Amino acid sequence: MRAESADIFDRVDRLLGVLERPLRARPSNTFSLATKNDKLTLYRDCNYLAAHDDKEVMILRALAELNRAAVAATPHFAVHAGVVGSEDHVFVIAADSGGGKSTLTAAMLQQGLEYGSDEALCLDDEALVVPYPKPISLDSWSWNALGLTPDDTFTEEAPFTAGDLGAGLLGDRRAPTDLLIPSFTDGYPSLTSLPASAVVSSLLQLSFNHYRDGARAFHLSTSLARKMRAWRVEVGNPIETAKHILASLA
Amino acid sequence: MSNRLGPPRSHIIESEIGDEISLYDPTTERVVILNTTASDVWRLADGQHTVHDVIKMLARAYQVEPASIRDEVQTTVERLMEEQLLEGGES
Repeated sequence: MRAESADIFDRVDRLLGVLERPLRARPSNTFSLATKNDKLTLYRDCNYLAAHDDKEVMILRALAELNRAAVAATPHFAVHAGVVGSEDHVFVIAADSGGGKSTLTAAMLQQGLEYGSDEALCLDDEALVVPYPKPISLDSWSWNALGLTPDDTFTEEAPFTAGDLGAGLLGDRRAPTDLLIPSFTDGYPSLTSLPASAVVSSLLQLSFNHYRDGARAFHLSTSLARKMRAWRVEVGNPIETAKHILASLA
Repeated sequence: MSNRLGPPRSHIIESEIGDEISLYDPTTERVVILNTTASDVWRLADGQHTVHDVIKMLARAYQVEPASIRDEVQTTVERLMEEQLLEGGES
């Protein structure tokens, strides 16, 4: 990622710093933010992607494009899910976009868990988690419900790091223990046990890349189904829900 | 023509998870997850038993009247045939 403006670079660097790795080879993609015709313009490998005069909009867009590229490029089996962990548990929060993954992930981090991802559960060939601690994107409802204050300049959606939530990062090679499938309620949070087959169906239905090697995806999913517990979580207030989950399961 | 059920097509990948069986067909890339009863039907679909045999055997195992599980067994068989998970076979 490159940025013409030092201020924008510093902001993006703060958000993505935990993902930085030594560059051992030519980068597969280069994203650039530069000013053109008074608008902040985003390029991918010199190809135009978007432009806007609001730099917060473009920072969010750049993060989204970077995320899309990262998920597409991962060699690991990847599932659309949040991942958080305690000493004895690794929770996988499986839901589509808008399903509450990021909010519940953030709420659980506030309860002291470590951050794996709010976007993708990535599994190596031993079905162990490969953390992907990208910035957590929360809308205004979510950050208000969680008592968070974003950078002044973000108004509708804002990125937060694990550090912003007082959380550490999940270590490598942890085995997932519990699958949480959220649904929304106006009432109290609750947990309902689901059959092991829910792990198989959720992981495969929410997978980004099962099509690359269907047999491997099936093997990993069924392997995890033998080891994980599955729960439907009725999510009310996210903080109370996180407390309820930890009190019940951890 | 045999009216025996099965056996499973040789390329189907099967995985047992507790009492349930998940099936993966690499040619269609489809996954079928069988509940407990359907898993028992699958285990008996070995080319040696008719659907009637399966209903009787499961009714004895579950200690219920055959009529009470007939519809579920037949629905399972139809689904297994639709998904082309079994060799030939007719109910």
